This record gives sequence, structure tokens and C-alpha cells, in this order.
Amino acid sequence: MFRIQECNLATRSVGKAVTGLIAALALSLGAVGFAQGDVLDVAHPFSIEMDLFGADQGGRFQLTINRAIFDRLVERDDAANAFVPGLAESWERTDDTTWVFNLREGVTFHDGTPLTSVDVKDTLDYFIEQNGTLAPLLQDVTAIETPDESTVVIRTSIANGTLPSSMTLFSIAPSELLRNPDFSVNPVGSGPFRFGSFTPGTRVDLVANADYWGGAPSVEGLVFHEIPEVSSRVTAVQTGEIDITWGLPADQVAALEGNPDLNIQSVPAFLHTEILLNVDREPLNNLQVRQAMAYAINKEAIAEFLLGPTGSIATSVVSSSIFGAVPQEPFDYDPERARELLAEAGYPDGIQTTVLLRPNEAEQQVMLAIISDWAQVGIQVDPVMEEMATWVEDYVALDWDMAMVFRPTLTGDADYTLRRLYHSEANRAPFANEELDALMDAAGAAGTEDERLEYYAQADQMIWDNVWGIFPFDINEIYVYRNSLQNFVPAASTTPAFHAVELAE
Amino acid sequence: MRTYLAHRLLLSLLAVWGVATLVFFVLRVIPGDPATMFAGPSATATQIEAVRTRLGMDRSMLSQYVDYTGDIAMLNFGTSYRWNRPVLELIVERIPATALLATAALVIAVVVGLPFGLVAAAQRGRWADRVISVTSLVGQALPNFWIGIVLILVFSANLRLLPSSGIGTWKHLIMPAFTLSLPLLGVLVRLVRAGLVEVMNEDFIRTARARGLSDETVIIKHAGRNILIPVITMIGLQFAQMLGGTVVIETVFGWPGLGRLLVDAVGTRDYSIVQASIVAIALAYAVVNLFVDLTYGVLDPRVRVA
Amino acid sequence: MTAASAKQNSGPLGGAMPGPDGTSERLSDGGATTGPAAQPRARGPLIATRRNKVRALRWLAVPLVLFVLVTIFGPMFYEFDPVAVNVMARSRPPLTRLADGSMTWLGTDQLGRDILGQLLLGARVSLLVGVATIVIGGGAGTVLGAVAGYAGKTIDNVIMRLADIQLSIPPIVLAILLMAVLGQGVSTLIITLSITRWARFARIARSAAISVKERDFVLAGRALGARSPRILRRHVIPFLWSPLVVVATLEVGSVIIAEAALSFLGLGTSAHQPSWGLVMANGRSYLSQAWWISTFPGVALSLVVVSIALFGDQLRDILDPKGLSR
Repeated sequence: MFRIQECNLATRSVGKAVTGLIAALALSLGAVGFAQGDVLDVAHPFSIEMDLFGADQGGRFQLTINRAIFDRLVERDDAANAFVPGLAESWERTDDTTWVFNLREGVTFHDGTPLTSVDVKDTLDYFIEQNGTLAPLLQDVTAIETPDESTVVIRTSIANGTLPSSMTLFSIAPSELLRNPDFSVNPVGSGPFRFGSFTPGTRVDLVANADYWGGAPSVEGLVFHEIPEVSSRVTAVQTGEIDITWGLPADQVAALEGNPDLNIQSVPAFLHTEILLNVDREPLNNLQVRQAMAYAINKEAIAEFLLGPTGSIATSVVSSSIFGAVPQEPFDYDPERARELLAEAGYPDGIQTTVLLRPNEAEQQVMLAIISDWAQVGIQVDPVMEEMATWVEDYVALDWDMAMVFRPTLTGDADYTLRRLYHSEANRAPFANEELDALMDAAGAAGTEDERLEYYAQADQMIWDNVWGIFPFDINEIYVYRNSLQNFVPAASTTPAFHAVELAE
Repeated sequence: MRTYLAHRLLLSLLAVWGVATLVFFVLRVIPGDPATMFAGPSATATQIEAVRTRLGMDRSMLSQYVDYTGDIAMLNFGTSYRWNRPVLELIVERIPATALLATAALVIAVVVGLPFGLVAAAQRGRWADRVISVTSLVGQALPNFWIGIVLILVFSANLRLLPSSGIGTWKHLIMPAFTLSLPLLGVLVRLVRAGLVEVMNEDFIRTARARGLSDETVIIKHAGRNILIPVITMIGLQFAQMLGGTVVIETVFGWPGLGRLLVDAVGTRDYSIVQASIVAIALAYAVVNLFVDLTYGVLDPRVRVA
Repeated sequence: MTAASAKQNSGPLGGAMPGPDGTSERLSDGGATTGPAAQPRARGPLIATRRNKVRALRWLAVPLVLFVLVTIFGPMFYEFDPVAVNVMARSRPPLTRLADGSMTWLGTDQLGRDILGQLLLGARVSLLVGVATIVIGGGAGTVLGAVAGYAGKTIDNVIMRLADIQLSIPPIVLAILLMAVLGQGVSTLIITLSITRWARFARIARSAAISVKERDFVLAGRALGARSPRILRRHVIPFLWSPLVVVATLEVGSVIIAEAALSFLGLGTSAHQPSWGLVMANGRSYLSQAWWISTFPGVALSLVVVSIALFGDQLRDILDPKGLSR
């Protein structure tokens, strides 16, 4: 028989081994130190990967980190919501199809080499060559000339009034290093922060650039942390592990209100809900059916109870914070009217259709709420949820009855969404037609902002009144940051800048 | 023995090659490809075609496949179209995290499972045994990702003792490793108990005892061998399951490992990463199997292969 | 048993057979049973007679029967629309009375959908996927395994290589690939899980077929001219029955967990088809504010799966003490 002593002996020796093992394990795991000293810790809502000019070039994280490491010809002032000089001290439109940018002198990259027009040209050429997500912004460009070291001339095939706003997205890299295979993991820019180190999936460390032409940053370092779980980010900002985060859903914010150390700001973002209707398919080819759908959504309830501080009712075809958003006649919630319209259209028993969705929880939630409202008036909509790669294929092929996304307008200019996506050339919108094309071309080409707005007013109205799309909500971004920070401007673009931020402990 | 080894190696390589081929063709058959993902939802058809040419995807599938097999044979796993870095680098970066997690889970399972199995066997029939046996059965049956969530709920959200996600200190490691270890832990407890109980009544134990050997020596020497075989086999088998299990655990705990890299790569149709990861897993699987078989042969003379 | 056939039983493809004899794990009895067969007299409830074992089995079956009944009939008595969203009743705790007067027993999720309703519908998904996978995957696996074991040589090798290849691909990856081709939903789940599970059944069928192959009555049958399918059907399959029933029962539990895990990762049912795993995933970001969303599906899942495990273990004890089903 097994005696107790043997049992104890065995257990004790095993116990010793266990303790030793745990000790070894603990020692072998280096502790990642928390932020110390004058370093700004930011928890970015999106995944961290260094792929600055590659497949994810238009991604929020890439744009945010590029904003810290690099400069662009034109910069956006988040507080004033205006364009200010960046690498280009000034720019002018010498004729309909030509823009001239005058670069400032004395700018150097982090490795000491001077930044010249050649770098600008090569960077833009690289983007065009790559044909990635930002390339469509340069699709009209026919030539980029560098008459001297501080002048860049960009010629376009058709009149283009939006080039400066597009330039806010293109970070300029040194032309000799740009094509190096490891440039992504060892970037060299001219911006307020230089690259320090990158731990995949965990963090990126940036160091202040003392020689920055715009003045050295107040903080010594900037660290982007990857904390994918929303609840972990909330905890981290409460404990002070993190100084700034954003991209929080409304429910999480409720837990933070009343915390004396935190600042919570809800900022209208360059983001809105876009539901496109495929007017080539029944029953959506009927205007009254589309109008019925617009009237049947209880926007107030959804905005109040579901979106909360993260959204508001939209007034135009793009978010109200965007240049080119001209307010339209709202479709007030009226289920009776909706039913009448359906009956008039010849569908007294309601209709049945589908909506294409991608794996984005926030988008799906809003859409499910809308589907619920539609069901009340007899509009049966089945959500078709596909994984990302399949969704892209179907979306691009226009293989849908309806498609819903949160549409970002990265440049803050309606041209980014309207002319790029709703134009016949893009073949991205089933309702594209010549009349609309003409309006948008004119808006893009016009010389003054007022002229452009006039054209956008007409374009917006055409899309809105024909209900080619339903645009129920503008989306806000919620920023949470510690009270001890100064000069942090929560950006509408959701790609904030950090070089003016001060840590007042 | 040598011919057996050679035979097995050849078969394993064949299986790995079969996996690589299968994955290659399946990836290219399903909707969505790197070109569409790279160019994004705003791209036009011409743009997507241009990207396809740049990535070399416009050649015939057969010629792509030939290049692919050649590359793999020379351990060239290509470049990720998305991160623009060599795939080997990407995988090697992530392996330590997953390896750490799997090893920690293995250690916990063995270190906790053995003594409990021992105690259960020693106390068999009594309440300690029943409690341990039922607990291990329940622990093995429970969905371990839910246990992970409950642990986060208790220790992170409520007690604020442990971080809820990420990697860094032992505090980050303990919950995911424990969660991952649960199925194996339950099985090991029961295996150890059963192996010991079976041995304890065997004739040769009585003989050894009659010959004057102390209980410890008898138990450890003879029972040890008896448990070793099933335990090692079980560990070998659970290894494959664990690889699949790490994906879920890595997702729940935000652990930056290979599992998540692989799943994300399938989602973004990063062919190179998917192919390389699966080939690596297939290789690992074949190696572990071979090792288990050989150890088996060493430990159990009844099964030794000539 | 020669070394070779022992190898076949317990090599890499032979499954987790701890030891050539198969070690028996007994949960209900206090010691190894050597000696004569079970006593005919009724003994006390803790003694491991066959009669007591069967009695215990009946008790263990109760929660399972309840689960099946609730799953089939529950949604008929409890009104619930999975697609209906109620933005004014978001994240309500259990036992709250809602604005429209109704009571929410287990709370509501972040879109105002009732948790109890989602659990009832999710139970249907779990049961359907569990049973269908075992029938399809298990059935196919058994046939393939039996054929492999009986036919031997090339066919055996081919089928076992197929098993190797399939086992080398992590189930998650397989799920994503299949989902991309077939779309999300219950049928894709069933197909995915069948593909990842058939090998287990194949192994057992194969070992059984091998050990039966050399038996006298089979050789006699062949000498008399009986053809292989007939032999398989009449002699091999009945031999498999007991271990297969045990494995099938235990596998239902595993499949239900696997389905929950896939749905949890977003690879199972689509977002408007409730599944226990999906509801758990929904609640993961709200653990501190709305713990009930993730907790109740987990409790339900655990209860069902543990009941199946206990039942299956007891069943194995009765039907398959030699452990052929491992």
C-alpha cells in the first residue's frame, strides 16, 4: 500500500522542483518597465505594425505614427480645422492644372541629410507606383517636376482644386532610403520624433527630435502601446499607465465619467454612416421605396440610446465637420409615412432585401438597430456578414443590394469621398451618372472655396433627395486623456499630433 | 531502426509537402486575394490588376506553384505583401511568445497534474480521490476560453490583481498559461492515477516488495515506467491541440503570438505568412510524432521495432 | 499481439492508447477489478456492480435529456426575435423589469437583446451542430477507418496520410478558409467540424477492423466467398459498436465546445444567429459593466459539456472497459 510518508516525500520533492521552476521562469521574464520620466504613453486603438508606406498606408495607425516621424507638404491644424504650411511654406495654383509648392529651407532628415524637392518627388512617385489605398488621391497627376531644390511643381490632367488637402496625407521620406526593404522597420523622417525601437505587436518607441524645424517637442519620448482590449485600455488610462487613448465605445465612457484625473472629450470625427443603395436592383430602383426607408429609421432613439456621445444625427451626405457638407432637409422619423410610400410604390406588404456588412462591431450594431426599425414597417432586411477579404471582393464588384460602412473622409474635404467614390470613373457607386459627375468635377476644379461649396451644395442635394444613399449619423470620436497634459488637441481626423503636448506633472 | 527512421522521415516529409500543396491551392481558390486587400475597397479594377502583376500573381498557378515548392525547399518563405518583410523574420519574432505560453502551460499541467494524480492514486476509493477525479474530469471538459474570461473578470476587472491582456511580466503570463493548461491538466491527473493504480496491484510489485525493496523504490521505478508512456503520448497529442488552443487564448488575452499572426494573415490573405506558418506547424507536428514514437519504443520493450 | 500490430494500435496514428492493453480509468469504483465478473446480488450503492453502474448512468442521463427537451421545446414557449434590437433596453442586469413591462430573467446585451432568448436559440445551434457533426463526420470517419483497416496496405496508407495532412492544419485556419468559400453559418460549421473530427473515429474503426480481420470467422467467411463489404458490414461494424457509441457521446461535448470557440472568434454563426460562443464574445468588452452577457452562456456551455463528459465516462465504463475507444 502506498503510505502517507511516500506520498508526502514525493509531493515535497515535486514541490521543491515547482518552486525552483517558477523562480527561474520569473527571472527569465524581463519585466517591461512602465513609462518613466517625460515620456508620453499613448494607447492606439488600432493594431501596431510598422508598415508606413505599404499595404496599410491609409490605416489610422500608420497615419498617426507617420504624423510623428515624418512631415508633409501641407499640415492640418486640428484646433482651427484649417490647412497650415508644413514642408511647403506656401503654395499656389498657377493655372487650372498646375500647383506649385515652395519648400522651406534648412529641413533635414533624422540622419542629417537635407530634405529637397527630389525627396518629395520620389516619395509621391513611389505612392503612385505602389497603387495602394492612397494612390487614388494622385490619380489625376501627370507629372511632378523639381525645377530647383525648394520647388515642386505638380501637374494634373484635369483641373484639381483639392491637391493641397490631399497632401496632408503623404509623408515625405528620404529618396535614397525609401526603397530599402527594411525602411518600414527603420524609418527615417524629418518629423518631431525620430524612430527608436519597435516590438512587434506590443509597442513602438519614438524619441524627441531636438533639431526639429518646428521646435523640439516638450516631451522626451513618445510610446505607442498596443492594448487591443478596450477594457484594458480603460483601466490603463485610469491607473496612469497610459496618458492618452481614444476610440472608446460609449459604454466604456460611462465608467470614466466623474474621474477627476481624466479629461473626456467627444469630437466630431471625419466619419459618418454611409448606407449605399443599389439602384440597379429591385425594389431599390423605386424612389418611393428608398424614401420610405429613409423615413422609417428612428434616428433620435438610436443616437440617444445606442450611440450616445459617439454619434449624432447627420445633416448631410458627409459628416458636418467636413468641408463640402451642406445641410439638407432631414427625413424625420415617420413610420406612417414610410408605410404609405411603400403602398404607393406598389409594395403594400412590405419588401425584402439584404445589406452587406464587414466584421466591424460598431458598424454591425448600428445596422442591426436600423434593421429593427425597418422591420417595424414591413421592410425585411437580411444582414449579410462576410469576412474581410470576401467582403472587399463583393463590395468592389458591386455585388450587393445595400452596403453599409462608417465612411472616413481622411482629408477633411468632401472631394475625398464624393469625387473619389461616387464618380462614374470609380465604378464604386451604382447611382453614378453624368450629371453628378459634372457637379463633382466642377467642385473639385473650382478656384475658390465659395465656388466649390456652391457645387457641393448641388451635389449633396442631388444625392440626398434621390436617396441614392442613406446617411443617418455623424460619428464622434471619444478621446480620454489625463488632466496633467497640456496642449493636446483631439483631432477630428482621429490621427492626432503629439509634438506640442506637455506633461505637467 | 535506421530503416524505420528513414522510412518515417520520408513519410513525414511527404505529409508536410502534401499540407503545403493543399494550403497553396486552397488559398488561391477562395475569394479575396492579396491584390484586392492591398488595393483596398476604394481601388478600381485596373489598380487591382496592376498590384497583381507587381506581386507576380498574374502568372499561371502552376508556375507559381513550381516556384513556391522550390523556394520552400531552400527555406525561402517569401515576403509578406502586407508588412513588406521576410516571412521568416515575422514568424521568428512571434514564436517566442507562443512558445513561452505553450511551455508554461505544459509545465503547469505536468507540475500540478503529477502530484494530484499521485495523491488520488494513494487515496483511491476515499473522498480525496473522488474529489480530485471529478474535478479533473470537469476541468478537462470545461470550455477553457470561458474560464479565461472568468479569470479576467475576477482577477483583472474586479480584484485588479492581474493585467487583463498583453505580455511582459509573470503577471501577464499566469492566467493565459493556466487557462491553456487546463485540458491537459485534467487528462494527466487521470492518466497518472490510473497508471499508478494499475501498477500497484501487479504481481511484480508484490515480488519486488517480497524481495525487500522499499515502497518508494518500487513505486518510482516500476510505476514510473508505466505512467511515462501514456503521459508522453498524451503530451505529444495534446501539443497539436494546444497549437490550435493558443489561437483562442491569444485572442482572449491579447497575447502577441504566432496563433494570432496566422489567423490575421488568413483574414488579410497574406499568402506567404499562411503558407509558412502551416508548413512550420506541420513540420512541428511530424517531429513531435516521431519523437513520441521513438521514446515509446525506448520505454516499452514490448513495442520496440526491430 | 506482435510488436508490429501493437505499434499499429498505439503509434502516432493509433491514437492515445496508453499502453498496449489500454489502461482502464474507473471513476466509480474504488479499485481495479480483477477477479470474477460482477456479482449477481445487489450490493451497496458505492460498489461497482454492473447494476449500480447502469443506475448511475440513468441519473447522469437526466441533465442531458432535460437539455434536449429544453432545446427543442423551449423556443416554442419563449418568444424571442434574434434580430430585433431594443436600443432602450441596453445592458440591463438580470431580473429587471423593462420599459414595456416584460421581465428580463438573465439580462439583456449591449443591443438590448434578451440573454435567455439567445441562450435558448443558441442551444439549438449547439445541439444541431453537435449531433450533425457526429453523424456526418463520425459516420464518414468510421467507414473510412474500417475500410483502411480491413483493406490494408495502399488504401490504408492513403487514408492515414489524409488524416495526417488534415491534422496538421490547425482547426481555426481550416474554419477561416472554409468560411471564406462557404460563407458563415451553421452548415459551414458542421462541415468544418466534421472535417476536423473524422480522424478520431477513423482510428478506432481502423484498429477494430485490424483486430477483427485475422479472426477465424472472418477468414472462414472469405473462404466461403463472402465479399469484403459484406464482411465489413456483418462482422466488423458490430464489433465497433460499443467503443464508437462511447466516442460519439464524448465527441458531442468536444464538438459543442469547438463550435462555441469558433463562434467566439467570429468564425461560426453570423452576428444575428445567436450561438453561445457568439454571446460570450459579445460580452467580452463589457465584463466589468455587464458581466451577465458572457457569464450565462459560459455556465450553460459548461453544464452541458460536463454532463456529457460524466455521462460518457460512465458509459465507457459499462460498454467499453477495455478502452478500445481511447
